[in-house]
Amino acid sequence: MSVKKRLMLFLLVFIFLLPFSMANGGGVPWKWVMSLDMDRAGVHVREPTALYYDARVKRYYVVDSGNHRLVSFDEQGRFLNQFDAGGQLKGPFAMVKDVRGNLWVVEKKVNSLTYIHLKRRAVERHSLALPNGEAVFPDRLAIDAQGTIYLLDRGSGKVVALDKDLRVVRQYGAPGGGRFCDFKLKSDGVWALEPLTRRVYHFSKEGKFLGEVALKGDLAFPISLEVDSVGLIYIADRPVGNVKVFDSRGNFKYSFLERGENRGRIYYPFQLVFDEMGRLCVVEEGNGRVEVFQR
Amino acid sequence: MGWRWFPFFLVFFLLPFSAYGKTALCFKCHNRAEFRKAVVHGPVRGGKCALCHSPHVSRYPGLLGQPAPRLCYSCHKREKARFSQSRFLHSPVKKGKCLTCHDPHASASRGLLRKALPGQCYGCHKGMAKKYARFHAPFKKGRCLVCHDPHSSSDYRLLRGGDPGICLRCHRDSPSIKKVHLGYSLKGIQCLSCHNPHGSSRKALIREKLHEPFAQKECGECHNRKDKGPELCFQCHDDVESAFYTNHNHLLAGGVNPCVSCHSPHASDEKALLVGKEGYLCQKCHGYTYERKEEALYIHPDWGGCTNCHDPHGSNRLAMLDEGENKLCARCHETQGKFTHPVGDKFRDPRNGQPITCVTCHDPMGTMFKFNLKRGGDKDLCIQCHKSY
Repeated sequence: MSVKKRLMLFLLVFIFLLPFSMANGGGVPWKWVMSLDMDRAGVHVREPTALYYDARVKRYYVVDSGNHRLVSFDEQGRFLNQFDAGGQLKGPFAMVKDVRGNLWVVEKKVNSLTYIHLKRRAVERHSLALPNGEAVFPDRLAIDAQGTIYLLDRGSGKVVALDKDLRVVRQYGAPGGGRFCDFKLKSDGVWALEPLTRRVYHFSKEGKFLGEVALKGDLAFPISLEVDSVGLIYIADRPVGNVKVFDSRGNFKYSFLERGENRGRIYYPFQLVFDEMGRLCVVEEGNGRVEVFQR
Repeated sequence: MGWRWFPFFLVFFLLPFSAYGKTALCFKCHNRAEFRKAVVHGPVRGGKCALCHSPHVSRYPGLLGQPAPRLCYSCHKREKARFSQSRFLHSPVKKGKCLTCHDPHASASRGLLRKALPGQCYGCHKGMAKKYARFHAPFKKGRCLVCHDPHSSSDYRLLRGGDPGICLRCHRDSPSIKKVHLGYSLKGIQCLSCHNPHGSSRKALIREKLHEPFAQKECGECHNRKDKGPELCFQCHDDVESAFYTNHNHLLAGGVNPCVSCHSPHASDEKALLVGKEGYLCQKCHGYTYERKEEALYIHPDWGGCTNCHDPHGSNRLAMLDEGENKLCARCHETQGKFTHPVGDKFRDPRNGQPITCVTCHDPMGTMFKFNLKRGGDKDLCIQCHKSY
């Protein structure tokens, strides 16, 4: 083949491949998979605040705060069910399921960590307090395999661990002060995000401070974090409408997504969650949906 | 012609390369007196007009070789590095308008300021030129830069240090300070929460509006209670308590009572005993919103009146809006509240299935388009939904 023909062939291949590389976001490794956005009747989720993924039954639970209900989807994003505790849910904000399949729900409107016993159809509301007697304002929620509940207390800005009697047994706070806006429970401990100083703090489950990561680069208003299996830190930047990725030293790696309403854009993201398959779920309050991305 | 003419030729040929020679030509037209003031910019003093100006042609005003601030930063590299690492920038610095404050040639004032202090500052900060019964000494002398950094700072008020560090530089942490504060611990105290650093009608420059227990000297009313958190404040201010039982709220702790992040428990010059002017106080955390405003071509009138639209305590709505978008906007935009593009629960945005509201098309925080539209109003915006058009 002559040099001229080789050049022509190269150009043709380049022209054909260019649109595909652009469609993949110019090197960003995340691809949109599905949206969790409406029930069977076509009622859209409104102002979702949290997502819980139950690996045992492989279901997503979206906290549909605007409609005062919890909505479940299967792994393909198909609507399964909705639940509002017979109309008793008041401002659901976050949820987890315990080993018996019952629900713990943060209800902001009544400042309660609420236990919902599904078989007994019982709703028990709990007001919590710190050891010094100050009220706890429940916010983000997580549960470990042993059934220990971890809660972000908006009043103190700390993550707290609760015993079976819902007493605060441990507190995880930023050593230099500050307040957390989100946390994630991982196999290596608790990771928490301090939005004003743009720092991520790492604690052992026993409450020992293990280290902090200063996030370098422009962050407008970090609202949620996730940490993947190789230690990369994912931050949802709420007003900018994107996800920024940092290495374990806080160096900026890349960002993806843009602010907007169309598919593949996000508007007022509120929470990041990795599911069991490593898919990144972005809870979008502004667009009333959860966008799921995979590598 | 012998060697005796050599010095003459030497001077004749070298003159254009000397400082005098370089500028002599310029000063044939430009008045030299304008450049002979107490403080002269280095290149001007060295006769290096061409360092900044192109004598023949340029794409930039003033025949500059590059536009400001790029031109300024080509020499002032340290400043550029410092500004890039600062959290808060003075507005002209942010916009790259060095010449708002500085004269690039010569000035009667230090730092090549266009006017002597405080006149230079008052040119923009007009409300600052106030008369008080009692003055803070640096303010009275017009020495704004004792406390403020005119370029950048880690503090939203552009202070040269944190509060109380900046105050304690002069007002040493002496036993007398503790005494006047009735022996209460001064750990973590913020002086500016109660004292006006410019002036006041009150003794010790205490701010004008007082919290009732403080005015009555009933310190124990708050300090002797068991609760130290927000519940302490809710005991009297129970009307705002429910606003914190919301998805988005300003219950911002960090080791102290979250209420005092925004309100002074003792004294203030602002409404609701805020610790700063509404617009500036919010900037402390929401800096990005202010950056967007600076870049936007169209912003909502009365932009700094944040609480006109946002509930500063908490709300379940996006961006802590005070009310649902349509009702909120119709408070002022009465005509649009009655006659407009269909909005409300019955009309859905095809892009996300959410109800169409005013903010579906408008962004009141500032955009590049007329009427604060999110996109160009001639077509680009409409075809987002009306694709067949």
